[in-house]
Amino acid sequence: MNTKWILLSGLAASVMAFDYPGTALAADWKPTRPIEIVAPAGPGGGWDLLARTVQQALTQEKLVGQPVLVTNKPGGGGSAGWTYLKGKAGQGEFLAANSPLILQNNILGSSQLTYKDFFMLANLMTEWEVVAVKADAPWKGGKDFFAEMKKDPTKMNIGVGPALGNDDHIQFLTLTKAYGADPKAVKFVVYPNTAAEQIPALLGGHIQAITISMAETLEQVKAGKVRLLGVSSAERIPEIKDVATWKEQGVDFVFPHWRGVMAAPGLSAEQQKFWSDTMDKMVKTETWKKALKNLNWEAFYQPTKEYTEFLAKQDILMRESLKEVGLIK
Amino acid sequence: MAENRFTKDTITGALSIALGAVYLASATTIPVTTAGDRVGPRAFPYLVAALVICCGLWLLLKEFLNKNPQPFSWGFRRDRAVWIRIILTMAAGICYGLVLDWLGYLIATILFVMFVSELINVGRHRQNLLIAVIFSATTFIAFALVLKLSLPRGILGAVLPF
Amino acid sequence: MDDVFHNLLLGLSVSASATNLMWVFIGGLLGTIIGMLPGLGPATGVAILIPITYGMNPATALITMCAVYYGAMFGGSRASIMINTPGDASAIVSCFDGYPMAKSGRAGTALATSAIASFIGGIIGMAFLIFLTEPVAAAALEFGPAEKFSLMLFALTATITLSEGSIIKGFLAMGLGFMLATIGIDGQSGAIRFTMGIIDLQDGIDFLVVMIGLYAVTEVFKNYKAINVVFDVDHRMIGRVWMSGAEFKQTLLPMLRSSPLGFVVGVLPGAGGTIATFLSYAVEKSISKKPERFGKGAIEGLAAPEAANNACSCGALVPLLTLGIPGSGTTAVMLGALMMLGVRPGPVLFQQHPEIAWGVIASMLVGNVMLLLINLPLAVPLVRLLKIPPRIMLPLILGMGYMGTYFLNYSAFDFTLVSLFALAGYIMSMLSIPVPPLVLALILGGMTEQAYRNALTISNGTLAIFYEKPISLAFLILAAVSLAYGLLRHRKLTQK
Repeated sequence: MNTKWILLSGLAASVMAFDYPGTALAADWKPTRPIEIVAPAGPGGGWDLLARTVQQALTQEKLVGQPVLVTNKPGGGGSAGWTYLKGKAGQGEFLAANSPLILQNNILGSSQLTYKDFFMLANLMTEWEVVAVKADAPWKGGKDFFAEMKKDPTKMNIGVGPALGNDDHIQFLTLTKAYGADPKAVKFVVYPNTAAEQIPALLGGHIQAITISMAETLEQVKAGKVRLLGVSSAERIPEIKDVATWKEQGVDFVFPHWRGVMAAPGLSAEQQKFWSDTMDKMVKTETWKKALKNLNWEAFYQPTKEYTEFLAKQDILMRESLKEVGLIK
Repeated sequence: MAENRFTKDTITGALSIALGAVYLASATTIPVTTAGDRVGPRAFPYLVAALVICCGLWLLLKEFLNKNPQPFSWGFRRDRAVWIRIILTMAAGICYGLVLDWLGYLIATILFVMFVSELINVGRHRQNLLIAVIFSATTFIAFALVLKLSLPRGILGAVLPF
Repeated sequence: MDDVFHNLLLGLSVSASATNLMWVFIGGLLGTIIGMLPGLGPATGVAILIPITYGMNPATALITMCAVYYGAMFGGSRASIMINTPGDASAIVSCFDGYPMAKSGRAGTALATSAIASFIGGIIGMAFLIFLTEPVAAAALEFGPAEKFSLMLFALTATITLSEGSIIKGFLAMGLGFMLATIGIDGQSGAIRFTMGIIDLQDGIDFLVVMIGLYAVTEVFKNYKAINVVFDVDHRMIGRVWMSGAEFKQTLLPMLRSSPLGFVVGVLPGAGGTIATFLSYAVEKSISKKPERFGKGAIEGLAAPEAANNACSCGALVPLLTLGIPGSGTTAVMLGALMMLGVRPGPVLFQQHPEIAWGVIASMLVGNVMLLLINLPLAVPLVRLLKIPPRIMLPLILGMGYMGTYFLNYSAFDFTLVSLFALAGYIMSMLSIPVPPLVLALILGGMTEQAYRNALTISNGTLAIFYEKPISLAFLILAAVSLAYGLLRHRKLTQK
């Protein structure tokens, strides 16, 4: 199947080269149509935001010489959009945003797709995970919180969203286990609308804690309404420098919630080179750096080779930790 | 005329009981996971199945006690032309979806609108073709070119200049 | 008080600049057009605008996006009235009386009513946003899963007892809607339910697919009966595009009642326009002296949900402005766009960037006036469309319906679903099963189940949580009252 596509695309490329004599050698592939970045979720989420940030950087810095569109294809925790990308094999004009869910969907058995089905173009940014409680809650850090958890788990309701089996969920299970409480006894209250429901539920006292990305809580932290018990980064984060990392609190747990972009499978070497070069250029632009700063995202750039190795490692780690907390056998 | 012994409500009742039963049976096979949520994925469907089956039983019972039943007919014979149009429209809609990516939006839409126009606006081929082409082209220009939404180009992909 | 007016003046000075006025106009027009099309809602409209907002200052960007947002609210019901095809979920109720009005030759009045009611709802919603944001936002925090479940139960019961025909068939329709809502992956446990092995069903059935099938395409099927009979008679007269004094008087109180209701419901995350419109319709019908007119072109049955819907979209901005969290899909897109511009709405927005916060609020005033000015003249060419004979109009409605379906998920499978639901809608109408409870249950089904399960998780399994919490208890009582009222009314009707 794949070889057929490669042959076809090679054929197409040669036809195009024939069409535009003198443009250049085949080594200089350039997109000839509008670029489409697939956000495999509805407008407004993390993938959508990443896709639009890349769109902004590529257009404003004039890196691709073609218009860039963002297409939202929600469904299946990303699988719908990614399947669409897979169908564009050999076509260099299609990218998609991705995240650890591409590993988790496969590990938890909800999708057959893996990162190996695509050209993993670049890892771009990361957020960090936190556990947040109301500002007037008695707990100051992981230790006293999870001690309470151990004592009476029926009183502790933990908000998570949009579905179980994501990074937020895994963070909390891992911490529970590390602090010696029982992961199976945790009462998770699931909020499909994520922060939009989790934060009011926390502030209203309906649940005792939420496990969530740091950036989602930042405004509440600034307003003094919410306290963070710990953060999953390796070192303290400037915006929340009072919050100790889990590592400082004695739990060996550094957990990035990264997002990156991938391209369709079966790209020619020229197409791959074009995109790798473009990403290299993009992450160095002012537009990109400013966008990261505005969105409270941390740069986490890994070009293709590093990214693929990173994913292979993450895949193994993720399997182990999911097994440990009992989500898979 | 066997049809005539049934009334609207007996048919509705019987259909809902059947549907409720199938749904209930299917609900008992939902896998229950240990992680997280305590209520589980089956509880709500059980309630729903019970509701639908009860409504069905109620309707049957009510019609059983009804002394003056109104016979009901689907009208497959009387309104045959209507049913044929409905089935053909549905089939056209399904085919439209199937060929959309392959033929591309422009061609598939022309074919679909042309076909349903032929069903409705019988015999005026030229008018129908004109409507189909105008509809397809204007929507493609508005959505794909002006609003920049993604529409499949299909087999015209290599020819279209944009 | 002085503060408020001072700030509002500041806001007005921001929003009334020539550039901003121009963008409000462009955004409003774009929103109106996008809102009219089934399958394209305000979220898509705002997303389309994002690339254009890159170069803007944050206040202009937010003002433009808001204009698209309420433009879509204005536009959403155009198609409901004209061709019985709601542009989005919150425009469903506008079909109930808007379409009968158009069919009986009052399309112009219906469009004018909808624009004027939207305007009034928007203005009242804005006033609430200015004066009541803080207390309402605080009260909304009291809403936990138990309260949410009871509210949705009340909205459903009220819809059932007030829809036409037998109450038992209403409950049946609700059950069918819930059945459809449970298809797909269960978010709480990850279990796959009722997909019959079809992968396309794993994400559940998009309610817009069902809506396009049950409303637009079914309506075409119903017209097939009359196709050969009516060819040249133009039975749809148009009427003038305005409301008479008497009509305005008739709708004034319903609009004034529905707007606060819409605003408050809009503040609740996720609940939004659907509940607001259905509830306001139920309220008006139940207190009307002639409830039998509803569903047959009662003007207050159109005005009330329209006002509620626009007030609701103001309410949806409350969590965005006060907590920095989006209450709906559209506000989520707006939040993303703002963050890319370096502004994070939230509790500190009013202190740090008063010109943005108040500029937006003031732009609603400007925007609503502008949209009224756009929509009233726009109604004139729109009603002309009714002159197109059905034999040409029906294929175009089919084309629009299926095309709208494609934009939802870009999935060919949805075309099959639309076809099947159209048939189901036709059968339901033959068997006199009401459609509204099904659609409402489908839209609210996921949330209802989620609220039910979350409440029971929090209460460790005891049902007491539903009646021990006062707000929840109040909604349960309201649900019981509306059921009793419906049964009584029904008995009266059958005895006559």
